[in-house]
Amino acid sequence: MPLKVGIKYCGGCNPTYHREDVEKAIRSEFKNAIFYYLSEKDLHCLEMPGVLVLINGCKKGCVSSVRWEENCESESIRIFRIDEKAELEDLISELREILTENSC
Amino acid sequence: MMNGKEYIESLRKYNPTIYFMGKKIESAVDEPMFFPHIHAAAMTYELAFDPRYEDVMTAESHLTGEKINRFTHIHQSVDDLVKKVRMMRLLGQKTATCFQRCVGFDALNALYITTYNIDKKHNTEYHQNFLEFLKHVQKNDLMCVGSMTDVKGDRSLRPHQQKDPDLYVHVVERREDGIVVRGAKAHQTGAVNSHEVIVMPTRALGPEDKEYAVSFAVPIDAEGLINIFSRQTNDTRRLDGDIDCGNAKYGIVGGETLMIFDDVFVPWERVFMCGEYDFAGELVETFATFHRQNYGGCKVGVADVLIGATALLAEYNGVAKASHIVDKLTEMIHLAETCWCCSLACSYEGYKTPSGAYVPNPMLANITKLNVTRFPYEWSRLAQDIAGGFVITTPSEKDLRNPETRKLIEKYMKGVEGIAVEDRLRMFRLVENLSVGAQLPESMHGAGSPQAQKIMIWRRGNVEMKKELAKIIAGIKKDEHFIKLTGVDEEEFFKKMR
Repeated sequence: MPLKVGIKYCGGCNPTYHREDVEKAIRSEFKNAIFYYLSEKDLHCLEMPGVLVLINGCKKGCVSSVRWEENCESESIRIFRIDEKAELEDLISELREILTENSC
Repeated sequence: MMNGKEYIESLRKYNPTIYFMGKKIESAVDEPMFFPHIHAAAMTYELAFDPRYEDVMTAESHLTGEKINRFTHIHQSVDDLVKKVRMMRLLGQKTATCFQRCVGFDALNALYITTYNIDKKHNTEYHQNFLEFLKHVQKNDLMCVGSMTDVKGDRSLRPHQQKDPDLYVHVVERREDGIVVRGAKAHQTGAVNSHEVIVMPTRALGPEDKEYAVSFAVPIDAEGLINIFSRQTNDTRRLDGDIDCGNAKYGIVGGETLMIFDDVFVPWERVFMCGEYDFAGELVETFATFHRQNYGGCKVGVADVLIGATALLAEYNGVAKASHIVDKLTEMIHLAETCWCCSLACSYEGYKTPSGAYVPNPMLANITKLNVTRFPYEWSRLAQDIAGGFVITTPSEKDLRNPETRKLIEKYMKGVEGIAVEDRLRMFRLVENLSVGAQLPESMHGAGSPQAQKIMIWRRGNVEMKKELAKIIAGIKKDEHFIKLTGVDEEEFFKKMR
């Protein structure tokens, strides 16, 4: 089963980096994954298994992982949050681990 | 928690080494030159017991659940950051001066965050050391000096390059039970009436400066710790009565010392950084962010008093209704409230750090402080403009008290009917205190000089992203949304119009 990756962007009012670079990097790293975008209306009906990546443009972190975790109905959804570009490398390696778990 | 009086009495338990005007001060609490500074700091204690102010003046300790003075609290939310600046403005209004306790408060919060990060990277135990110290501070409601600025010697040289190695505080000996430090810190606000000193490095450091990467806390009366109290403009006026000072009760600025560490021993359990030079810059920046956040609070509180004093003088002088006076007072309010907006904004834009503690937005905190290096000069200029020349030529209190000259002063210093001459004199002196004296250079250099803020603003200004935005708007780079708006790409859309 290909990994399903949901992406949720913050509002992007004054980002400190190109948030799109995160999505680009994940997409190029996980070519076989299925990507889809999430919006606030999906907050209460997260049933799709896989990974959710919350992309914030700055450390204020308007898309709160706690909020999504609290509303996440499925335990099989793993939530990751990124607030600055420096965190991208760690995010990718954590996603790689999940991919390895999945393939096992 | 202690109230104001208990705080003042608590200082008697300490025996710090203090020199001033060529003599050793035996008891700081009994030294008249220190009275106003002590009273201003005591206000941070007293208001915590007033039900009208306790909501901003107190907090719940996240360590013990106890009610504590907010000055010993670690910010647990954006609301805490906002309440901090509300507390600053309130205290500025109540004292019209620097109440000194924010520096140690900011040092506590910066060290909470940075010791956590150091431990995570280096497997050290500084955060635990710090937590024990913090509990001690919270439990006993202590006032701490936040001690950062080294004397620096030749500014073009790094600490290890200085001819005299002691121009930055550094470790001179490592023992089994602790470290010995030597050096000096400048501009130590509130030192003569504090309980503890929290030392931090003053700048980012490299591997050659490892021995300068040191942070610790010692009691103010630690052996080898010497304070030389600084002079201020018109400082001895406080010995001449209660009018000439302008603000006899609470003084002017914080009361600073040159603090010397003459081989001071620090036990390991009071050490929060020792050699981790890679975190010196982070600690400085975090502290600076907290400290720069404050200035649109405390200085605006002081400005509220100045605006009130200036408006009263306009009334006493009989010019309150002149349109240019109203316009200038409005401008003073605008400048002050702009700084307030900045403090609120950097607090509301604050965020959670890995330690769990919250920090203000660093860019906006630096903007706050940079505005405060400018705007108080302008609101002071306007205050002097409105008040008139008597701000600096008013006869002395002693001449007002002298029966021979009192009647002359009362006749010729009279303004509008119904206002006592003494009241008018008091108001001139207050405006002098708030707009001529040490308040202004303090606005300039406290929490770092303007260039320090500009360095951080430039570093965080993200000009590359702004260049990209400009390229898109100018048509140099593709606008991905334009085609969605018009159904055709830019080239095609504008071809029709050429």
